Order: sequence, then C-alpha cells, then structure tokens
Amino acid sequence: MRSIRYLVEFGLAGLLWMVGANIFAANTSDETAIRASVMGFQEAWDHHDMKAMADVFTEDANLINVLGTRWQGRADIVKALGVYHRVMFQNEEIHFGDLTIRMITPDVAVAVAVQTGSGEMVLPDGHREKTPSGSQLDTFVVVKRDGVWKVTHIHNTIVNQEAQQFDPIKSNWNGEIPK
Amino acid sequence: MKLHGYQIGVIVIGLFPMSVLNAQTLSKPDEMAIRTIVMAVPEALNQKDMKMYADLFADDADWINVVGMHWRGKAAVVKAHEVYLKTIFRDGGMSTRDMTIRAVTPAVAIAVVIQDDKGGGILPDGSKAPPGSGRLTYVLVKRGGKWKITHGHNTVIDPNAQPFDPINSNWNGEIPK
Repeated sequence: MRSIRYLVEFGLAGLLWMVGANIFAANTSDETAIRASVMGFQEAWDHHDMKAMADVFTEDANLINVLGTRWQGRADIVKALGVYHRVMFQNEEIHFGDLTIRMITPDVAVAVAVQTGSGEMVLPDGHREKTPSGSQLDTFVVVKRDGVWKVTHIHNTIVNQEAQQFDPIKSNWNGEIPK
Repeated sequence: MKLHGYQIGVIVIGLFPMSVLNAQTLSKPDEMAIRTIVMAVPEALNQKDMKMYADLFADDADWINVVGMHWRGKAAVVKAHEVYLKTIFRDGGMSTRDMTIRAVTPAVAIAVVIQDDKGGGILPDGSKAPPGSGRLTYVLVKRGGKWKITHGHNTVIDPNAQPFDPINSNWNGEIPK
C-alpha cells in the first residue's frame, strides 16, 4: 500500500517537473496566443496607442528597426515609438500578412511576418510622403512567462524587391556575375 | 495535515525546475559558448569554411538578410551564403563587435551584434560592395546540451537615420512644420 502511495506522489512530482520544464509541445491555444501577441503590435500601431503597445512586450524586450536603430527595454521602445507616432506615423497603418510561427522550445516561438503599410508618413525634416508600397520582414521572438505570451524581441528589415532576383535559393540565379 | 520528510522532498523536487527554468540568467559556460558561436559566424565566412559555418546552426534555422531574403532551414542558409562567397563575401573582411547576450529562458538566448564589413566584395550586378555595418539578431537555442543558432536577422545600419533616434540621440521629436 505504501509503495502505491510513493508511486502516486512521485508521479505527481514528475507531473510538476514536466509543467515546470514546459516540455509539452505548443498547442492550438499557444499558437492563438502567439498570433494575438504579434497582431497586438499591429493594432497598437494602427491606433497609435502606446499603452496597448507597452502591453505587447516583456519588460526586457528589444526592438531593432529598419534603419538599424536599437532600443533596449520596453520603456525605451514605447518612448521611441511614442515620439514617432506623435507626428511621423500618426496617419499610417501597418498590416501583417503571411505570419509564420515556429516553436523553438515549448515556451519560445519565432514568428516572421510580412509587413505592408498604407497612409502617409512625415519624415523628421518635415517632408510628407506616401507610405512606401513595398514590404518589410519582421522577426518576433515571443516568450511564455507565467502562462502569458509576450513579444521579447523585434527585428525589421525592408525587402529590397530589386535584390530578390539574386536570391540563391528562390531565384534561378546561380551566383554568376556580369564581367 | 502533517507532512513527512519524504513528502516535502517530493514537492521540492517537483517545484525545483519551475524556479530554475523561469530564471532569465545564463551560466558563464553558456554565455561563453554563445559568444564563441556568434564570433565564429564572420570568421567562417572570412575563411570560406562552410563546414564550420554549417556547424553553427540548428537544422531548423532561418535567416533573413539585409535585403529581406528569407531562407528557411540550415541547408538553405548555408547554400545561400556559399553562393555569396563568390560575390559579396569574396574578399572576407567581416568582423563582429558590441555583442550583448540576453537569456530569454535558460534554453534560449538572443545575441545582438554590430557586424562591420570592410567592403570590396562584388555585388551581383557587378559593382563593388561599399563598406558598411549591420545590426544582427541571433536567436540561439540549447538542445542536447549544445547551443546553436536557430534564427538570424540582419539589417544595414543607416548612419543618416541615427541622429533621429529618440533614445540614443539628442533629437526630441521636433519636426519642422
């Protein structure tokens, strides 16, 4: 009888260990939550809502934008985006399409989104221009802490359409260079 | 209810990994291993050693380069860079600096670096590559006790834009009317 009790209690310990170690694979609800956290960035941007923007990120989050500028920590990210949204992006919207999510561990996912934009932007020199019609590739690292998925890293790059003809994987270009 | 010693032990064993795995810290050996891998990326390309390069990546690795090409899987990442050894990376000359490493979980870390390229390689259109710097994100994962890169993303640092960084410059967001 005692051996059964030991067995049950060690089984419980094992279960606790598994929960602690997050060894369960991502399920549909995780994917839904990851997608929601990424889309939360888009919604916060489109509403120019920096309170909602802050809620997207972990406190230790980083963001690297398309110009290679880096902000470290949620406070700096929200402050910087707040400055840009006061004027520069106040009439711009972004749209995430083609979002792919890859679980690298049960509690960390890498999501890549194709970002397009619409509306107009104001540059720091005061010039207004239509939001470029091209796209960006956005990396999101999303982490589950205390049961909640939050974005902990973003890195963005503008897709140079001219360059895509020289993609060694997706084009027929074989590395040959004109003499 | 009075708990026996072995029952407390069972609970402690159960709770142990929860606390350990939720701490965002890296051991010195983990940090050293990550640093070594990240530093080896430009080194492998400079030496045109694609076996060494491939060994730095997890099988499921992705890479997004400075012009927004996205390669999925180690084989594609290695093949693409190998083709560019004949062009952009032909003359070597890449180096890494200003590395920061941050633990996302004990098994996942993000390293951010600046990579300088002295230029001189050939662009696919036949023109010479200018010198420049990129900001790189490396996502590394520890599987089977070994750290590997599972995601890389590179963006050219635009020096003309940095004076308008609301955090790292003196610009206060004022825009001429």
